[in-house]
Amino acid sequence: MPALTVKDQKDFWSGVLFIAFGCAGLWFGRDYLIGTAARMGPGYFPLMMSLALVGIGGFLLVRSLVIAGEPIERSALWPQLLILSAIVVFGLMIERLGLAAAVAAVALISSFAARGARWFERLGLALALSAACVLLFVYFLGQPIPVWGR
Amino acid sequence: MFANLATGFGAAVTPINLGFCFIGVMLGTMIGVLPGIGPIATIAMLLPVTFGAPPLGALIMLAGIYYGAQYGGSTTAILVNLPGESSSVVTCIDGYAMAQRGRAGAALSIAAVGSFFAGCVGVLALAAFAPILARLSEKFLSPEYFSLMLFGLVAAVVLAHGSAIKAVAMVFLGLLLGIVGTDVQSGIARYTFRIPELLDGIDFVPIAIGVFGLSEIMRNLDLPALERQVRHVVGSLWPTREEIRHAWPAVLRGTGLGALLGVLPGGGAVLASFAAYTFEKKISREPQRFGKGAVEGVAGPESANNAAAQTSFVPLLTLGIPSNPVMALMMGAMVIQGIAPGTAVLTQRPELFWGMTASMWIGNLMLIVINLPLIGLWVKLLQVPYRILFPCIVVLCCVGVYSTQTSATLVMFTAGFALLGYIFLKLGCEGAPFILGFVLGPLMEENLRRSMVLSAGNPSIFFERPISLVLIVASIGLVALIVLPRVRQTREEVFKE
Repeated sequence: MPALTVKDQKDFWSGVLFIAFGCAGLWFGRDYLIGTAARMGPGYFPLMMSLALVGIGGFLLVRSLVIAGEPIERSALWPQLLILSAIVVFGLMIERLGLAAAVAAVALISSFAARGARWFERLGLALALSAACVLLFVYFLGQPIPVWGR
Repeated sequence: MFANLATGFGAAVTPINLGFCFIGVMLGTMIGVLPGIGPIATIAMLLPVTFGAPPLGALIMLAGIYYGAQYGGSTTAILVNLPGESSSVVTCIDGYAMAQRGRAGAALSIAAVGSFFAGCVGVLALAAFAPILARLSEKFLSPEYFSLMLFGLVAAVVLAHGSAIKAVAMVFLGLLLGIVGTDVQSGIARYTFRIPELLDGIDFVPIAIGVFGLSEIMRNLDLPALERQVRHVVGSLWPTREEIRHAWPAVLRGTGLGALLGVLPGGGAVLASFAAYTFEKKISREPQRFGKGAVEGVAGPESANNAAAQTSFVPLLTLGIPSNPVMALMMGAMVIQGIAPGTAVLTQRPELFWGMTASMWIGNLMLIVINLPLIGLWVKLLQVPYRILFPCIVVLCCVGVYSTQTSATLVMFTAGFALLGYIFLKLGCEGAPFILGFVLGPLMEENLRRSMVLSAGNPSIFFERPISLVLIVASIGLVALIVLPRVRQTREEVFKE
């Protein structure tokens, strides 16, 4: 018998992901009343979905050990982290420091995700976007967003 | 129908609605031209902006983005050999080959005129089909709705590009996330983790923007920077007589095929353009010309994607079932505006339905006028480097999400869904079945429960009612299609090209 090795990385990790969601669905939904087919409780549908996810996830997991597939494309990691943290920083800043500063921060942080930009380009972009967003969302569309924070 | 269309034109031809239409098609063309940002992400970003707008104007603009993108996508495909839009992937093959031979201008004008013709036919088809389907849907009760949604989801799985089994799992995942929030029947909060923002369900905007907009940017940043030089001169816009002779039958076929595939659940512009290309190649007497600049390879798919873009509104506006992710977003926009998608649109808000239909024709007219003369502008736009472009998109996404409910929590959700969407992309799991499942989740559960109450828990209710039976049989047929090995092979071939 050949050794058990993962032959299809994509299938393997998809399986893990689906099983994780399915288990989370089962665990956090454990107290919802299931009911009967004729009188379905709030737990019936989530239970079916979670079980289906675990089932398919398990199938993918087993298949990934048998059938070979393509490897996962490499991640650049750094740009991904920058984009995600830019969004989180926006969420943290918007209520305290206002739209103008939050937008400039997002633009600046995310601009580091690509190589080749110069400093004045990054700063210029951040300032321009900040001004444009304030004009568009606050003055033109009249959204109730604080411009300078509270 | 024509009296109705007249009402529609009355509603659509007001300065403000013409303005919305113009903004929509301009934006649509713009994002169509730019690779790396598509109509799904754009509509998601603009959803919050449409809050303050009147319902008809908002819908006119969002619709304009979708079909405008079909026009714009071909420009990039022909000039740069990159699909500006996923629905113009196949246009690259022969469109770019034509550009290499110095016939870029002709390819562009054939694509534009073909799209215009297809758009007009698509609008007429929408006006003709919708009332018929709406009348049929008056007979619908919960079992029919459940079977219809099942059919739509099965179709979405069958038509997904990658692995079908993963698409099934994505539907289930979407359905599971869709029911987060307060259960309507029992009043119990499900999976809300005491976060007040989750009591009404996971907000649609962060999911749509995260999974379709931001994750795409993150993936693009993994790849080496795209070369986007326009190397070939556009040349004369006038096609030769020979080219016209080859093009017009392809336009007709593409239009027919596209209009038909647009109505099907799971269909839409992308599927239509792939199908039209394969079809043209199959029936051509000289298939060896394809790939070397065959006019049919541009005319067919470009007409098909625009026809499908118009007719894919039919299921949403008549049955309240979105057939593809763009329609799921349109559904979100309607709900935000307080309009219940479905038959009620046609019967209670006729000015809305007919106004939208009429605006699509006007929009197509605007597109053909702004497209060809402005080709120089689009070429300039292509030269904006991605490193400038993507920070703008990230900023718009953040501000857009925040302004939907002025909630910083939603911005945090967006970051989470962006990460999830990125993981999906890396693992080859498709977003389209996921978002459809998410939108249909609560509706499906509700109709399943009601059906089961009607039948005292006996699932045979779905087979006893004729319309429901037809839909179930059709779903089983679709499943059989992908399980049978021969068809499976063709499916893979179609998507490979």
